[in-house]
Amino acid sequence: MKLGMLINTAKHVDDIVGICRAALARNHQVSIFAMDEGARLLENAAFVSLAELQGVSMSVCDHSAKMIGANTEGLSPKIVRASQLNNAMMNHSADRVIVL
Amino acid sequence: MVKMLCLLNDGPDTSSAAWIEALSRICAVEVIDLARKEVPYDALVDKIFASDKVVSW
Amino acid sequence: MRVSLAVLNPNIAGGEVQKKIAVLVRERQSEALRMSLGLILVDDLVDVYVLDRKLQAAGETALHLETLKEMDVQVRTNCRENEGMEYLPADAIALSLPRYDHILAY
Repeated sequence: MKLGMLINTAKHVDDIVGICRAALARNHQVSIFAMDEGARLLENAAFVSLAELQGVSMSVCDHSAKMIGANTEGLSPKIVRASQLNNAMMNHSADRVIVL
Repeated sequence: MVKMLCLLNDGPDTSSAAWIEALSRICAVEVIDLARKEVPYDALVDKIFASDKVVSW
Repeated sequence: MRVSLAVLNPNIAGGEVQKKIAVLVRERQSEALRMSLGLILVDDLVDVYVLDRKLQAAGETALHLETLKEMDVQVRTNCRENEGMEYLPADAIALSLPRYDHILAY
Protein backbone atom coordinates (compact mmCIF):
# COMPACT_ATOMS: atom_id res chain seq x y z
CA MET A 1 0.00 0.00 0.00
CA LYS A 2 1.01 3.62 -0.28
CA LEU A 3 1.51 6.04 2.59
CA GLY A 4 1.35 9.74 1.88
CA MET A 5 3.19 12.05 4.26
CA LEU A 6 2.28 15.72 4.07
CA ILE A 7 4.98 17.61 5.92
CA ASN A 8 3.94 21.14 6.82
CA THR A 9 6.03 21.72 9.93
CA ALA A 10 9.69 21.22 10.72
CA LYS A 11 9.04 19.88 14.23
CA HIS A 12 8.68 16.15 13.73
CA VAL A 13 11.67 14.93 11.81
CA ASP A 14 12.23 11.93 14.11
CA ASP A 15 8.65 10.79 13.55
CA ILE A 16 8.92 11.36 9.80
CA VAL A 17 12.07 9.28 9.53
CA GLY A 18 10.79 6.58 11.88
CA ILE A 19 7.42 6.20 10.20
CA CYS A 20 8.90 6.30 6.70
CA ARG A 21 11.49 3.62 7.45
CA ALA A 22 8.93 1.45 9.25
CA ALA A 23 6.55 1.71 6.30
CA LEU A 24 9.30 0.67 3.90
CA ALA A 25 10.18 -2.26 6.13
CA ARG A 26 6.54 -3.35 5.79
CA ASN A 27 6.91 -3.15 1.99
CA HIS A 28 4.75 -0.08 1.67
CA GLN A 29 5.54 2.74 -0.71
CA VAL A 30 5.98 6.21 0.75
CA SER A 31 5.29 9.52 -0.92
CA ILE A 32 6.45 12.67 0.89
CA PHE A 33 5.37 16.20 0.07
CA ALA A 34 6.86 19.07 2.06
CA MET A 35 5.37 22.55 2.11
CA ASP A 36 5.03 25.60 4.32
CA GLU A 37 7.32 25.28 7.37
CA GLY A 38 8.04 21.72 6.29
CA ALA A 39 10.20 23.09 3.49
CA ARG A 40 12.77 23.99 6.17
CA LEU A 41 13.55 20.28 6.40
CA LEU A 42 15.33 20.53 3.06
CA GLU A 43 18.25 21.60 5.26
CA ASN A 44 17.90 18.53 7.50
CA ALA A 45 20.21 15.68 6.51
CA ALA A 46 18.06 12.93 8.02
CA PHE A 47 15.00 14.19 6.17
CA VAL A 48 16.55 14.63 2.74
CA SER A 49 18.30 11.25 3.01
CA LEU A 50 14.86 9.59 2.87
CA ALA A 51 14.64 10.54 -0.81
CA GLU A 52 17.48 8.12 -1.56
CA LEU A 53 15.60 5.11 -0.20
CA GLN A 54 14.00 2.60 -2.51
CA GLY A 55 10.24 3.01 -2.35
CA VAL A 56 10.27 6.70 -1.41
CA SER A 57 9.29 9.60 -3.63
CA MET A 58 9.84 13.08 -2.26
CA SER A 59 8.75 16.44 -3.54
CA VAL A 60 8.70 19.92 -2.07
CA CYS A 61 6.58 22.95 -2.78
CA ASP A 62 9.00 25.25 -4.54
CA HIS A 63 6.91 28.28 -3.58
CA SER A 64 7.25 27.38 0.11
CA ALA A 65 10.97 26.76 -0.22
CA LYS A 66 11.42 30.20 -1.76
CA MET A 67 9.19 31.94 0.77
CA ILE A 68 11.05 30.36 3.65
CA GLY A 69 14.43 30.88 2.05
CA ALA A 70 15.43 27.25 2.38
CA ASN A 71 18.88 26.47 1.07
CA THR A 72 18.31 24.13 -1.87
CA GLU A 73 21.87 24.20 -3.17
CA GLY A 74 23.18 20.73 -3.84
CA LEU A 75 19.80 19.19 -3.29
CA SER A 76 19.50 15.60 -4.47
CA PRO A 77 17.90 15.32 -7.90
CA LYS A 78 15.60 12.75 -6.32
CA ILE A 79 13.84 15.57 -4.47
CA VAL A 80 11.45 17.14 -6.92
CA ARG A 81 11.02 20.88 -6.59
CA ALA A 82 7.39 20.99 -7.41
CA SER A 83 4.04 22.66 -7.06
CA GLN A 84 0.86 21.87 -5.18
CA LEU A 85 -0.01 19.56 -8.06
CA ASN A 86 2.39 17.05 -6.56
CA ASN A 87 0.50 17.16 -3.27
CA ALA A 88 -2.72 16.59 -5.17
CA MET A 89 -1.17 13.61 -6.94
CA MET A 90 0.10 12.22 -3.66
CA ASN A 91 -3.31 12.50 -2.03
CA HIS A 92 -4.89 10.97 -5.08
CA SER A 93 -2.67 7.94 -5.13
CA ALA A 94 -2.08 7.31 -1.43
CA ASP A 95 -4.12 4.83 0.57
CA ARG A 96 -3.52 6.78 3.77
CA VAL A 97 -2.18 10.27 4.34
CA ILE A 98 -0.72 11.60 7.56
CA VAL A 99 0.22 15.20 8.27
CA LEU A 100 3.29 16.04 10.30
CA MET B 1 -18.35 1.24 12.59
CA VAL B 2 -15.58 3.26 10.96
CA LYS B 3 -12.18 2.81 12.59
CA MET B 4 -10.52 6.19 12.90
CA LEU B 5 -6.96 6.71 14.05
CA CYS B 6 -6.26 10.14 15.52
CA LEU B 7 -2.60 11.11 15.74
CA LEU B 8 -1.69 13.90 18.12
CA ASN B 9 1.42 15.47 16.63
CA ASP B 10 2.03 17.90 19.46
CA GLY B 11 0.19 16.28 22.34
CA PRO B 12 -3.40 16.96 23.36
CA ASP B 13 -5.01 20.38 23.14
CA THR B 14 -8.51 21.59 23.82
CA SER B 15 -9.40 22.00 20.16
CA SER B 16 -8.37 18.53 19.06
CA ALA B 17 -9.88 17.00 22.22
CA ALA B 18 -13.29 18.43 21.38
CA TRP B 19 -13.17 17.16 17.80
CA ILE B 20 -11.95 13.74 18.84
CA GLU B 21 -14.77 13.51 21.36
CA ALA B 22 -17.28 14.39 18.64
CA LEU B 23 -15.77 11.79 16.32
CA SER B 24 -15.86 9.19 19.09
CA ARG B 25 -19.65 9.33 19.06
CA ILE B 26 -19.76 8.03 15.50
CA CYS B 27 -16.46 6.18 14.99
CA ALA B 28 -14.28 3.70 16.81
CA VAL B 29 -11.53 6.17 17.59
CA GLU B 30 -8.02 5.31 18.69
CA VAL B 31 -5.79 8.17 19.80
CA ILE B 32 -2.01 8.02 19.65
CA ASP B 33 0.04 10.84 21.10
CA LEU B 34 3.20 10.90 19.00
CA ALA B 35 4.90 13.19 21.49
CA ARG B 36 4.82 10.44 24.13
CA LYS B 37 6.62 7.94 21.89
CA GLU B 38 4.55 5.10 23.33
CA VAL B 39 3.95 3.21 20.10
CA PRO B 40 6.87 1.81 18.09
CA TYR B 41 6.91 3.07 14.52
CA ASP B 42 6.32 -0.36 12.97
CA ALA B 43 3.21 -0.83 15.12
CA LEU B 44 2.13 2.70 14.25
CA VAL B 45 2.38 1.96 10.54
CA ASP B 46 0.29 -1.17 11.04
CA LYS B 47 -2.35 0.87 12.84
CA ILE B 48 -2.37 3.50 10.10
CA PHE B 49 -3.20 0.90 7.46
CA ALA B 50 -5.53 -1.11 9.71
CA SER B 51 -7.65 1.99 10.30
CA ASP B 52 -10.27 3.14 7.84
CA LYS B 53 -9.36 6.81 8.33
CA VAL B 54 -6.44 8.70 9.80
CA VAL B 55 -6.44 12.25 11.09
CA SER B 56 -3.31 14.05 12.25
CA TRP B 57 -4.16 16.81 14.73
CA MET C 1 -24.93 -8.52 -9.41
CA ARG C 2 -22.43 -6.29 -7.65
CA VAL C 3 -22.91 -2.61 -8.39
CA SER C 4 -19.97 -0.27 -7.93
CA LEU C 5 -20.78 3.20 -6.69
CA ALA C 6 -17.25 4.44 -7.39
CA VAL C 7 -17.08 7.73 -9.23
CA LEU C 8 -15.03 7.54 -12.38
CA ASN C 9 -13.05 10.60 -13.22
CA PRO C 10 -12.47 10.97 -16.96
CA ASN C 11 -10.00 13.83 -16.42
CA ILE C 12 -7.45 11.53 -14.86
CA ALA C 13 -5.56 9.23 -17.14
CA GLY C 14 -7.07 5.79 -16.89
CA GLY C 15 -10.30 7.07 -15.36
CA GLU C 16 -9.26 6.48 -11.78
CA VAL C 17 -11.59 6.68 -8.83
CA GLN C 18 -12.15 10.16 -7.49
CA LYS C 19 -10.91 10.70 -3.96
CA LYS C 20 -12.83 12.73 -1.39
CA ILE C 21 -10.68 15.01 0.71
CA ALA C 22 -11.61 17.19 3.68
CA VAL C 23 -9.30 20.03 4.61
CA LEU C 24 -9.72 21.21 8.19
CA VAL C 25 -8.51 24.79 8.42
CA ARG C 26 -7.22 25.75 11.84
CA GLU C 27 -4.19 27.92 12.58
CA ARG C 28 -2.34 28.56 9.31
CA GLN C 29 -5.35 29.55 7.31
CA SER C 30 -3.74 31.00 4.20
CA GLU C 31 -1.54 27.97 3.58
CA ALA C 32 -4.42 25.61 4.28
CA LEU C 33 -6.53 27.34 1.64
CA ARG C 34 -3.64 27.46 -0.83
CA MET C 35 -3.20 23.73 -0.37
CA SER C 36 -6.94 23.19 -0.84
CA LEU C 37 -6.75 24.95 -4.18
CA GLY C 38 -3.90 22.70 -5.23
CA LEU C 39 -5.78 19.58 -4.25
CA ILE C 40 -8.49 20.18 -6.84
CA LEU C 41 -5.93 20.03 -9.66
CA VAL C 42 -6.46 16.31 -10.21
CA ASP C 43 -10.22 16.70 -9.94
CA ASP C 44 -10.61 15.02 -6.60
CA LEU C 45 -13.52 16.23 -4.51
CA VAL C 46 -12.24 18.73 -1.96
CA ASP C 47 -14.35 20.21 0.83
CA VAL C 48 -12.98 22.84 3.19
CA TYR C 49 -14.01 23.24 6.83
CA VAL C 50 -12.91 26.33 8.73
CA LEU C 51 -12.88 25.17 12.32
CA ASP C 52 -13.41 26.98 15.59
CA ARG C 53 -12.35 30.50 14.60
CA LYS C 54 -12.96 33.36 12.27
CA LEU C 55 -11.09 33.23 9.00
CA GLN C 56 -8.72 36.18 8.73
CA ALA C 57 -9.87 36.84 5.21
CA ALA C 58 -7.43 39.50 4.08
CA GLY C 59 -4.69 39.51 1.48
CA GLU C 60 -3.74 36.11 0.11
CA THR C 61 -6.20 34.31 2.37
CA ALA C 62 -9.08 36.28 0.90
CA LEU C 63 -7.83 35.61 -2.61
CA HIS C 64 -7.57 31.87 -1.96
CA LEU C 65 -11.06 31.81 -0.46
CA GLU C 66 -12.51 33.67 -3.40
CA THR C 67 -10.84 31.31 -5.86
CA LEU C 68 -12.09 28.25 -3.97
CA LYS C 69 -15.63 29.56 -4.22
CA GLU C 70 -15.20 30.27 -7.92
CA MET C 71 -14.09 26.66 -8.33
CA ASP C 72 -17.27 25.51 -6.56
CA VAL C 73 -15.39 24.12 -3.58
CA GLN C 74 -17.69 23.86 -0.58
CA VAL C 75 -16.39 25.95 2.31
CA ARG C 76 -18.16 25.26 5.59
CA THR C 77 -17.57 26.40 9.14
CA ASN C 78 -18.69 25.81 12.71
CA CYS C 79 -17.92 29.45 13.53
CA ARG C 80 -20.90 31.75 13.00
CA GLU C 81 -18.60 34.74 12.58
CA ASN C 82 -17.56 33.46 9.17
CA GLU C 83 -19.83 35.18 6.74
CA GLY C 84 -20.37 33.76 3.29
CA MET C 85 -19.76 30.17 4.38
CA GLU C 86 -22.27 27.46 5.13
CA TYR C 87 -22.59 27.13 8.89
CA LEU C 88 -22.66 23.63 10.34
CA PRO C 89 -22.52 22.75 14.02
CA ALA C 90 -19.43 20.85 15.11
CA ASP C 91 -21.35 17.60 15.54
CA ALA C 92 -22.62 17.79 11.96
CA ILE C 93 -19.10 18.39 10.66
CA ALA C 94 -17.79 15.45 12.71
CA LEU C 95 -20.58 13.30 11.32
CA SER C 96 -19.53 14.11 7.77
CA LEU C 97 -15.80 13.42 8.17
CA PRO C 98 -15.82 9.61 7.98
CA ARG C 99 -17.08 9.77 4.40
CA TYR C 100 -13.81 11.32 3.19
CA ASP C 101 -10.83 9.27 2.04
CA HIS C 102 -8.39 11.75 3.52
CA ILE C 103 -8.89 14.26 6.31
CA LEU C 104 -6.13 16.85 6.36
CA ALA C 105 -6.06 19.02 9.45
CA TYR C 106 -3.88 22.04 8.84
